[in-house]
Amino acid sequence: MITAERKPFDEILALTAGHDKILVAGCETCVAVCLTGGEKEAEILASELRMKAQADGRELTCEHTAAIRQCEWEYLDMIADKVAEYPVILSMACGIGIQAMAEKFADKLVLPAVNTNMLGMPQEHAVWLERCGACGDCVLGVTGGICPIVRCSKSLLNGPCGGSHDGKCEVTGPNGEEIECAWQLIHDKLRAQGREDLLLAITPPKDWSKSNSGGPRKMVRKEAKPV
Amino acid sequence: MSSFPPHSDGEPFEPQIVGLACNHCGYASADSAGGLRRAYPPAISLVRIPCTGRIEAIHLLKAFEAGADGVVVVGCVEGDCLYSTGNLWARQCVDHVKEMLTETGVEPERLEMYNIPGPNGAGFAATVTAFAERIKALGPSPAKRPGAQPQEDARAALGNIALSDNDPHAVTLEEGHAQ
Repeated sequence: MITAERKPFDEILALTAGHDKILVAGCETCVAVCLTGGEKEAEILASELRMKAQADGRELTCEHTAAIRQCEWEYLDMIADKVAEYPVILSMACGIGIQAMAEKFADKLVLPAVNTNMLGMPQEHAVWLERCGACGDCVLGVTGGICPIVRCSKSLLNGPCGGSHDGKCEVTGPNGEEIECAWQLIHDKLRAQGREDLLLAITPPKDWSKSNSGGPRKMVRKEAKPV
Repeated sequence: MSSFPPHSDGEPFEPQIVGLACNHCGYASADSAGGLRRAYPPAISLVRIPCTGRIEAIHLLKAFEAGADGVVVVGCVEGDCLYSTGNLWARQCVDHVKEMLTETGVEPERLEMYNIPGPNGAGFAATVTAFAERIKALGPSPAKRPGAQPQEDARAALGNIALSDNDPHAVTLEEGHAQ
C-alpha cells in the first residue's frame, strides 16, 4: 500500500494562510489504512484548523469530507457537490489523489496536507516498513522474495557490501535504529531454499529507464480498453 | 447531571469542564462522591463512557470545540482496566491530543487524564476540584466560540461513545472495582 505522513501543522497553516473557506478531503483507501488521511484524520485536521482560527481570532469555515479513493475520477464525482462549496481543498490523499483532485477540480486551489513517503506494509500495528520501490523490473524471483532496491541502503544488486556486520547495515535509520542487512537476509533465505548458487551469478546493471528515471510512466491494457 | 452556570463578561469566570469518565472507575467514583456528599464543582459535566479506551482524538477535540475550557478524562488505575489496556490507550491518546492543542494555541494543561480506583468518591472530588482550579487559573479557552454551550454540544458530539444516564448496564456503587 501507499503510505503517507501528515505534514507538520505549521506547514499546513502556512500553505492555507489567507484562506477562510477550506475543505479537508480525506481518502478512504491507502492513507486511511496507514492512519494518516482517512475520514477520521480529515475530521481531526478540520477540527484543529477551526480551533486554531478561533484561538487566533480569525474567521474560518472548515469542514471535512472523504472520497472512497481520490485517485479515480468516479469516486471524485461522489464528493463533487461538497467540493463545489469551497475554493480551497486540503487533500489528505497520497500524491496521486492530490493530483487527481487538482485535475478534476481545476478551478479549486488543491493543497497537500500529507507527504507521500513509500510503498510499505504494516510490520506490526502502527509500524510500516518500505517494501517496494516500484522500479518496473522486479528481481524478487532471484533474491528470495526480499527487495534489495528498497531494503538495501545502497540498492545493491550484488551484495552484501563491506558495511554488513552481524546481519546489520552500516547505515542506521533516522532515529539511529539498526537496519537489517537486506543481502544478509537474501543470503540466509536462498541458503534455506537450497538456491545459494544464485548468489554466484553477477546481476548486470539495472535498466533504470523502467523506473522513474525514464520519465513519467504509462501503462495501457489494450484488452481492457472500452470498445 | 450538573448544569453550567451562566457566564457573561460581567461575572467571575467559572470554567466549563467536560469530563469523560469510564463506567467502572471514573463514573462509579463520581457516583460515590455524591453518595458520600463530597462536593465538586458543578460546572463539570460528566459523560459516562464504557471505557476510556473508547476515546479517540476527535472526541477530545470536539469537547474543546464545543466550548469546554477544560477536558478531564477519568479512568481506572493502570493495570486495573476492566478491558485490560483501555486506559493505557487513552493515556496515549490524551498525550497525542495535548500536542495538537499546543499546535492550535490551546494550553495543553486544559486536558488531563487521571486514574482513580473506583469507587473512590473522595479521591474523585479532590482530583476534579483541583483540575477545575487549574482551569480557573488559566481562564477561558482561547478556542471557545462565543455562545458555546459545552454541556449540550459536547454531549451531542460525544453521543456515539456515551452511555445513557439510564443505561441498565451502568455500574452501581457496589459493583465498581474493589479497592
